[in-house]
Amino acid sequence: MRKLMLWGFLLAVVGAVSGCGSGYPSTERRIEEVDETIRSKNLPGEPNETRDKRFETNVNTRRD
Amino acid sequence: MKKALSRYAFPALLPLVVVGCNVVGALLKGDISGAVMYGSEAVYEGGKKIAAKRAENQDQVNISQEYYIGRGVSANVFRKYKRVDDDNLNKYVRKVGDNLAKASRGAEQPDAKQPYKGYFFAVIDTPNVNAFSAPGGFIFITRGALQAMKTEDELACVLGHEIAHVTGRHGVKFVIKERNRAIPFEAASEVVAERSPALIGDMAKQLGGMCGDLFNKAFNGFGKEFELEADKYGTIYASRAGYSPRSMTEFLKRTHHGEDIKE
Repeated sequence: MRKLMLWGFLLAVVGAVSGCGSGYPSTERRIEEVDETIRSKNLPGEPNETRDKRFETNVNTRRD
Repeated sequence: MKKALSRYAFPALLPLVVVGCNVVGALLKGDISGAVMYGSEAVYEGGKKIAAKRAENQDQVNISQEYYIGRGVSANVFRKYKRVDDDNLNKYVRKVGDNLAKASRGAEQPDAKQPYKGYFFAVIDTPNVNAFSAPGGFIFITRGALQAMKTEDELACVLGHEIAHVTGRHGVKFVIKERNRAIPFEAASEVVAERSPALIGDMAKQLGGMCGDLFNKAFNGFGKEFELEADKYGTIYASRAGYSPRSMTEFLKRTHHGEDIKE
């Protein structure tokens, strides 16, 4: 019984420590929430070639 | 383990031990009503102090103080990392960031406040994929994060996320939350200080003065609630600035299986 209680206590400690250490929600949750925001607020905005080229010039050409 | 015990268990138990000793002392003298009074008074005073300190902390940091906190955090960032030595790249990131900052004005984010001295954007020289912000408008993106991006729209979404942390004052709210968590220790130590030798009170006060390390928090996220809020408003800001809001999910999806992206 004492052993079982000790294991339970250790598991609780590990659970608490890992829960406290993670400052981020899961990527799946983040994607779901962003999708929901886009859908519910009907957010506009489309990709743009000029911007993509500008990004290419300023960032991609500087890749190591 | 020993360290953790002395750090947390000691300050928590110390007031109980001191208050308990006084209660036991009164009981030994046969003063039962004195013992009950002493115990309940200590608990009541502790509760009053906790409530007062929590209220005080809510208004403790104004936006100019926030700026100086952010400067301190930034100094730590530059102690650890170098800024990428490429003026054009830094200027480009600043230009995209400034567009997002403009788009954040007048948005519906709760409690939103613009920073005291505007925004500061910097690309830092590390291959780690990360972006983070400090209170007061200081925003950092790593060379690794830029290399993991495919479009300006993705950059805009990531910068929007960081701007939402700044406008939502997440860094300072996090500090306040951490301080409120430490208040029971501080309040207890004050009760002890009033009722016991000064030395014990001072020791308890020092042990009780715990505060979150904002520098580490900036790197590792401000907690799930604030991260989701920053995702939401970052996406809204990107859309208001004319960028594709879908780029946020595209970037998250692409980096999900490769590197652990932390914006």
